[in-house]
Amino acid sequence: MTAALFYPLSLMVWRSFSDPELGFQHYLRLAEQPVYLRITLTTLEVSAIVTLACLLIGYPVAYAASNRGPRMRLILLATVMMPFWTSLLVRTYAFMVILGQGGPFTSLFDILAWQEPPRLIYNRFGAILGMIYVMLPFMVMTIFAVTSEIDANYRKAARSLGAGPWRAFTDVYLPQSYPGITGGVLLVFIVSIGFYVTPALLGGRKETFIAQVIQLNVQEIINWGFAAGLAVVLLIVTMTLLLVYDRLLGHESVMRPRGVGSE
Amino acid sequence: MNALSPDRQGNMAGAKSHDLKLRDLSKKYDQHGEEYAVHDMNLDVVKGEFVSFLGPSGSGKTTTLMMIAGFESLTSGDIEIDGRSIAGFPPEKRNIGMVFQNYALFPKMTVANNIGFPLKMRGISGNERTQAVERLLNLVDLPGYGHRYPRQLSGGQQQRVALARALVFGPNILLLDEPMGALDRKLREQLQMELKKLQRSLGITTIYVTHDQEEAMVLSDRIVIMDQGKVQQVGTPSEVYYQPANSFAAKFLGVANMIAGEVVRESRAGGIGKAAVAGAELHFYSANAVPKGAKVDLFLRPECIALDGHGDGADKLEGKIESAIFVGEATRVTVRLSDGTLMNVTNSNSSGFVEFAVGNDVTLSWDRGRALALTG
Ligand SMILES: Nc1ncnc2c1ncn2[C@@H]1O[C@H](COP(=O)(O)OP(=O)(O)OP(=O)(O)O)[C@@H](O)[C@H]1O
Ligand SMILES: [Mg+2]
Repeated sequence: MTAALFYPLSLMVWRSFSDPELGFQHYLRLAEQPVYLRITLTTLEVSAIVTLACLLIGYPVAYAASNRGPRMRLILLATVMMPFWTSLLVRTYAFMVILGQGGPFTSLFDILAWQEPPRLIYNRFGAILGMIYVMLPFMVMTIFAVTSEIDANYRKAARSLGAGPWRAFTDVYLPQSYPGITGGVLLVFIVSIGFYVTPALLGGRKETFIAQVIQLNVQEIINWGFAAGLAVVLLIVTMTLLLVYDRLLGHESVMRPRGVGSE
Repeated sequence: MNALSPDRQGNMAGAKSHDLKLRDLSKKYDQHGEEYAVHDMNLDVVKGEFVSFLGPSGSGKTTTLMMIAGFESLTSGDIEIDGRSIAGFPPEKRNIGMVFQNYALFPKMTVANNIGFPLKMRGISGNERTQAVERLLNLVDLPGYGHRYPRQLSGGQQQRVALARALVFGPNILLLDEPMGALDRKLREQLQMELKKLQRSLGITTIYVTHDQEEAMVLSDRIVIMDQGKVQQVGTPSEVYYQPANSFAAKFLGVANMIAGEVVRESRAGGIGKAAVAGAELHFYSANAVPKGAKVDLFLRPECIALDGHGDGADKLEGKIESAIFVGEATRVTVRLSDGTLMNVTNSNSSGFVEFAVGNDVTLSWDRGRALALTG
């Protein structure tokens, strides 16, 4: 298992130094041309916004699914899982139709006699919206996996001890749901960083993601070495963020098993 | 604030105690359904009293507790503390301490923070809080455990922390929902004694839910026997044991002998009548008036029956010994009556051991009026 993961990874790292010839040329090029720094920053920024938005929307959904009875649970989870019944590509094209010129939203603006309907796709807004839509189920399901296991008696105990509904939530429920939050945030953020299809189709030319540049180098320019270099950078950025995140959150870590080393 | 102070170790019953009244309390979970989880419950709990709700699974014990604590709405009726209705208050405004079945200790907080939680919610901070937590840890015999997390405690210790947390803010009433359910027998007995002592010394009005009859008898001033959402009987442990109100209460507590018969001489309420039973005519005491011809069950506890046919005025029945088991302080004998009824008799060995041979004929006897007629 580890070997199966490790082999292609080391092959990739090796390629970034050796293809087509031995040396640091790919990394030098990455460092010299500001466009790559901008792409990396765009990728991180958009991913962060998407992750935050997914958390803000996903937490209440997971909360309601965990606490508002079996009917609500069924309705919410079915709605959240619905997108998985169609392919990512189809969903993204659907988004293009809905948000694009002549779609329901721009038509609505037309009817309301907007001077110039705002552009909803082929820009950062479109990319973010599409990514939120795709990533939301992952956030909801990760948080739900934790919140659905929180016994209702904890909140009852908090209430009987003098906490109002809000304090019972912030002081007792929320801390118990942290593992779900950290897990969801990590998952969505990391998958977002490596995203390709959605930003490529819904984003503008300025919202290029690293994954797109990698794809370009692999399939069109056929510069495997440079693609590998980009991938290594992406990997290092992701790992660094992971470590920082892990450090910041201390013993709520997802990387260490719960309860170990927390006292 | 009314956090418990250290000098309150003595009996403070009365001074700080509160009474609790349930008035025609009913609960239907399904508004449109017919089924009552609790039906027309009436109960007066006096100041400092320890009352147990005892009943089989699904009899409405937890539901009643949840209504008192404020977690379930009332379908009808009212709940009063010191004569004032609390039905309109949310749980956090009722000042009721509650110990849950699984304790519900907050896993992300230390023991000290768990116990300090209700004080924190009441805006008590710093030294005052720390000291109150220390006092309570001492009270439940867990000094120095404040820095631990709940998962680092044994079941019995967790229970005591839950108790400390429910007491630290000086609640008006203490509610406990099967707090011993997860503990082994020996620990249970020890904790029962501790709880009883603590409850006495604090004088706090307490309601305790259990389906363990022995536990209810050991702990309670009075027991409320519940079945299918209805109160079957309220009484002291000895009352419910020796004077069950109906056959449910009789069978639910301890071992009950019930002999079916027909009244041949009527009885007024609280009087003595006579019934034809298994080929004999026996006296019975009845709390209610029973007319001639009524079907009754005569109820007798095993230890009330003698096997030597003593006394002239006693009621007697003949039977055959089916089994005899020596258990130390007594011998448990089962006797088959002529009508097929199986009787359990506990024969005390307090004045020497007597051998009972299986298959022998034997005479069962008891003082006149000892048998109780049950109609329900
Ligand atoms: N949340 C609920 N929704 C619907 N019905 C409920 C709910 N809680 C309890 N009931 C029903 O109400 C009745 C009384 O339940 P309750 O939990 O009060 O019993 P209990 O005496 O505490 O039983 P146990 O000894 O098993 O804890 C049962 O028939 C139960 O199925
Ligand atoms: Mg219960």
